[in-house]
Amino acid sequence: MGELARRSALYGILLIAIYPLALALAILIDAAFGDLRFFDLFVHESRRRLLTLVLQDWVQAGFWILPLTVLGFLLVKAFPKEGGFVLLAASLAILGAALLSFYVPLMLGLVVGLSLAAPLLTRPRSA
Amino acid sequence: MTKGVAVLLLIVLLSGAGAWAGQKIVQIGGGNRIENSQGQIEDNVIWLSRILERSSDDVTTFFAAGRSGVKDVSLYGDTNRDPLLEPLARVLGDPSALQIEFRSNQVPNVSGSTVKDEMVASLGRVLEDLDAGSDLLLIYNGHGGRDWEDVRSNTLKTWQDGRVTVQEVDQILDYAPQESTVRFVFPQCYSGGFYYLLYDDPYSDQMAIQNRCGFFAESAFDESEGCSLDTSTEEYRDYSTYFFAPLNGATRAGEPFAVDPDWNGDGSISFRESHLYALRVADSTDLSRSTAEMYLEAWEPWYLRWDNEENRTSQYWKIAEYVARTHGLSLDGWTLAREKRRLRRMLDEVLRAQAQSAYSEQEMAQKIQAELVLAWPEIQEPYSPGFLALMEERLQEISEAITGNANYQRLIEMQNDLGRMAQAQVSLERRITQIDKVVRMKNLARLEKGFQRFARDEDKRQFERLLRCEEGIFFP
Repeated sequence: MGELARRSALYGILLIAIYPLALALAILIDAAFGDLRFFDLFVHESRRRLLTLVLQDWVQAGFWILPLTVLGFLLVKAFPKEGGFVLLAASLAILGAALLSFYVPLMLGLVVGLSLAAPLLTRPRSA
Repeated sequence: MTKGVAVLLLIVLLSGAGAWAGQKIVQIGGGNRIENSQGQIEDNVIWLSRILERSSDDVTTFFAAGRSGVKDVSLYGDTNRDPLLEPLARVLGDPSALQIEFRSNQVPNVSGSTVKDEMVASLGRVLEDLDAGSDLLLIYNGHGGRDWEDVRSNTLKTWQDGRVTVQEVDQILDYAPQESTVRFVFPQCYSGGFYYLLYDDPYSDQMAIQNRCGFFAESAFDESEGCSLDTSTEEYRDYSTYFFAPLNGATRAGEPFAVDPDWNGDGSISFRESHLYALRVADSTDLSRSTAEMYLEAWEPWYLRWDNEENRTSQYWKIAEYVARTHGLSLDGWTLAREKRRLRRMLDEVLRAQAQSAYSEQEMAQKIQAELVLAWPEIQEPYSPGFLALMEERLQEISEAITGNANYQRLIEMQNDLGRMAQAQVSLERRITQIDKVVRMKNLARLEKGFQRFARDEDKRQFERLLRCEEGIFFP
């Protein structure tokens, strides 16, 4: 029961944290390698409008995060070892493609990559 | 064989199949109330009428009270202030009121008023009479209102304080044939709300059957520039002044263009080229936009919002570069953010000082008023018989008492300071707008690239349709 509660709580926190985490990473990457576009948004949009945009985007991103994490969760549950490996590989591939500016937009890559990787953290300790 | 093809082409052209049936231009101008119907609006309409009538004989103009002869324009008149009345206006009223004059409009060939019911009925008839395949250009030159709950209910303000909503304009446009191309230019405050005219109705997801596109001075949330009473052409900075200058062949002040408005160099000016010209040269508080640009912004998916890819081949990137160069700004996000913060701080200081000065000026005027009331108590009641008699008999004496008051010179200085602060405020707002413009242009350039990569075919088709409409030539 304790383990299930721990995993459920972790799972819930991850679901909520994925988008802000991806956003923070996108801003950091932009600051390190980009043209500081995030400052453009701070220039152009009012704080209120920016907050509204982020909240709207969070909801939109949820439509990707939820099914992907559920899929990963089921995969890990059904195949604890192989599923984990598949998730990790897929996650790294997508993150890599996004970071190297392949066809995947940065934020999408980060959200998909983190969503796929998240269920790995919710695996039972014994697995 | 070649002769046969030529004859066939001629037959097709003569039969009118697919032929362009001309362009109807409708101009709507004037304010909603006399004090809000500035001479600048009238000047814009007259200036534009002259330009349009050089190339088209199908212009219909509706202006404020129409041809009724009612005074429907207010403007700064004679700059020589009445030396007797000036001290009274400065102390007892509004000093700018000294120069205001009211008169009926002098717009040539006015078809009717903009009184809501009359105008809507007349417009309906005009549009119903359009030939299939003809173009309609609707130009508005007046004030706009914002619905704080729903920008799709933003309004045009018409004479006798009427309000025509986006939905009502949409219903008027529906009178035009379905095959026609409808273009609109809205330079008023909150004009971006009229973006929704693109759709079958403002609340629909379906594009209108007619080919529609338009240009706006501002977003649905912001006021636009250009509603002062000043009629000096150097101060004409409203969107329509910039947008229609390429048709005029020179700027509003009669000077040569700073940049060639003919972007593609084909010798003719399209609506879009006019808009791009306005974006480049407008030194105003307007962050103008076209329907295609707003379509791109509305399309932007969540995952592209933080994308930092640059698109240096886009027209918008070139505009960003031009605006940055002209105004001594950087293209870098961090530097722009810092500069904007600095300017916003300065603006806040100006606004604070303005509020403080306005309060002190009021106090000073009241101090002088109190001394006047002691000697002439009737002065407090401007519509009483005693006041009228006082003005007839003692005007000179009162005027001299004010000018001789120890505080009067200080009051004049305060009022002049307030004027200078208002000017400083506008200058700062204009500079901040240029920063916003650089950022917006960079963003549009980025979005264009993202759109080509990630948009659905249906979205691309709609966007192409919009672009084709915006790229139409003013007078083919």
